[in-house]
Amino acid sequence: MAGANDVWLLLAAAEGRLGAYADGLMREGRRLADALEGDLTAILLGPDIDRLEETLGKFGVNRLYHQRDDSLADYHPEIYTALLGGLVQRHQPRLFLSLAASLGSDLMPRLAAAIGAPLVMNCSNIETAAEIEFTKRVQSGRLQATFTASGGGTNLATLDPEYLPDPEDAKRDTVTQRHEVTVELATIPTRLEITSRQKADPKTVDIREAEIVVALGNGVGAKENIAAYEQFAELIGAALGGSRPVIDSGVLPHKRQIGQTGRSISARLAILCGISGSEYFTKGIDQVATKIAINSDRDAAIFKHADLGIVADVNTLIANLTAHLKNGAKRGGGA
Amino acid sequence: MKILICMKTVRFLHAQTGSDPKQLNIAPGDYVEMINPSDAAAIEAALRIKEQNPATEISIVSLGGASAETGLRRALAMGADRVNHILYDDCAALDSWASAAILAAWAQHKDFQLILCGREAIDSNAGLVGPYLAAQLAIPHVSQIINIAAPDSAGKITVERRLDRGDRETVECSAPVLLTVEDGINLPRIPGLAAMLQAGKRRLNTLGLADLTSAGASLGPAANRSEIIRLSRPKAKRRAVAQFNPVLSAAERAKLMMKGGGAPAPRPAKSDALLEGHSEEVLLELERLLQASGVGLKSRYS
Ligand SMILES: Cc1cc2nc3c(=O)[nH]c(=O)nc-3n(C[C@H](O)[C@H](O)[C@H](O)COP(=O)(O)OP(=O)(O)OC[C@H]3O[C@@H](n4cnc5c(N)ncnc54)[C@H](O)[C@@H]3O)c2cc1C
Repeated sequence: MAGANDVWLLLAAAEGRLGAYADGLMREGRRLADALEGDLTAILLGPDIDRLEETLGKFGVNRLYHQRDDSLADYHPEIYTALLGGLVQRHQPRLFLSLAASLGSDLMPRLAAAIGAPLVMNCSNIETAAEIEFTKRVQSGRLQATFTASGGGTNLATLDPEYLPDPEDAKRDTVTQRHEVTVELATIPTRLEITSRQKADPKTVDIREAEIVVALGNGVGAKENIAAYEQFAELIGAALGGSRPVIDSGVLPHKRQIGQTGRSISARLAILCGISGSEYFTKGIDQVATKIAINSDRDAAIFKHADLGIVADVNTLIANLTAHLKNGAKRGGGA
Repeated sequence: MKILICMKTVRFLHAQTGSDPKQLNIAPGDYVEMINPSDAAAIEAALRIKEQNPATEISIVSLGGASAETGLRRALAMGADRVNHILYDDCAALDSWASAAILAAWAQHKDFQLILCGREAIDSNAGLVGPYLAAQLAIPHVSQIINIAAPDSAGKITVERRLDRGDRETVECSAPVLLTVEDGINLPRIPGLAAMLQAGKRRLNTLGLADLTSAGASLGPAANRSEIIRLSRPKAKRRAVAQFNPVLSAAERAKLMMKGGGAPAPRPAKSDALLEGHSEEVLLELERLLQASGVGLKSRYS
């Protein structure tokens, strides 16, 4: 049965599989459930996912609440709040967690208000001491603050994906019990009407908002080489940007220039191809979470900024990587 | 139409020049006080609605100590019609719920059709006062706003939201509604000297908590739901990169990673994380890092 020390998490799904960072969220949820000596429960709203219990079991999820309803594939704030608010109030877990992405950042304050629970947004860490301590960055990252919540009951938090644990093999063999939820959605009153959604096209998205960026530098060479990078970018869903010389050569429009006189990007991942690492350029990549640099010069300054550096001819490497990823996709399995 | 903007004068730590690490290297001069950037964007958005609908009346409310006055006068100089200062010296002792309760007590029964808040204050980074205020006033809320179409004659408001990865969404709702707007969606106007001088002479409507009545619990820190127990230096972000051990070859590292990571070792300086060539090992390492960064090429759960 559900208990007062349980940890709940909201999973997101897209296109028939769990969304980005779902594994980090589950891993973190399991860690906290262990510390609290409670169970871990996951909630999924929307279409079912193939072999879901098997995956969740590996991450130590004890229970799954699932409302299998296609209309829930698209987030509606009021419907999600009513549905989840009802569930959380009925079962009273100790913690209810979601990712601090667009959905969680919109939903969790509504849920907190609806059920009268404390909430800390964008946590970098949660620890269970005598009380549960929530840590997050404040002063736009200069400091971090640690919060405690007043009273017992359910505490809500959203987790900053940049601080989630690294992915690794999930090894648990928990048997995940599925519970179907069947809330009558038509009875939930709504005041907001979502009239349209526009999916961003990596080719046209504002480079400042792109999640993944492939940045081209002088080292990419002749204009004819660009097509291979376009293909690679398309494969991984990246937007193309460039250093100044590449923009000046007219291969990419000016609004794709990265750097002090161009734009600052804040991507989750940037792949920097044949870029030397001039300060004028690196000013534009400060906010990128993970940077991979490829350069044939082992002493290139760009490597000082990179999380992973590869000394290689960039055209060959990108061609090989594209082929490798395509093969992997055909194999259809893990690496 | 009556528009209200909730504005905060933030106390933003823009540098850490102090010499005492116990004080987190904060010197008194390291704080600047300014209108919170996304609140300024909200004011600008309201002014643009007024340019199209001259019958609009723009009010500002700011909860804060004496220093909030500077921001309120600037808002007047930008073109706001009325400014209200809820004078409270110890705002640092209020959490988002308690702050929203004070604003709600002030705003209720004033018939604002549109309430705008910034997405979050750059000092506390909580992002909660807007949604909590909407909940306490029992009006709908739409977040992450990048565009507001002026309400039509039937009071219907159409807004555009920013989702993850550059996706967009259009939402329709009826007034009254609270919108939380993103930073950087417009360039807030810079008031001229004459307007600033004029605003300096205007009388502000200043009130205290005692002037407010709330339906619920008492106003002030008693309404808090969370408290800050300590401030510290931020922890470094998780590193998606494998623990590089320069003694291992790329092949050995790749094998280690396939087995699930190996013992975590302290991360060496960035430039040490160098691989060479374009062998299978390098490609596997790249693939792993791509997956760790959420590149959705294929399911890693299958
Ligand atoms: C006022 C001012 C403002 C500026 N603003 C900007 C700005 O906003 N953005 C910007 O980008 N620049 C800006 N610059 C220019 C900046 O100083 C650099 O000149 C520029 O960033 C260099 O671009 P790059 O790294 O692509 O080219 P290069 O410096 O020419 O570097 C090319 C790199 O590619 C490598 N390479 C070559 N062949 C290969 C290969 N086959 N495989 C792998 N690697 C290879 C080389 O080793 C080298 O490191 C500005 C300059 C000034 C003075």
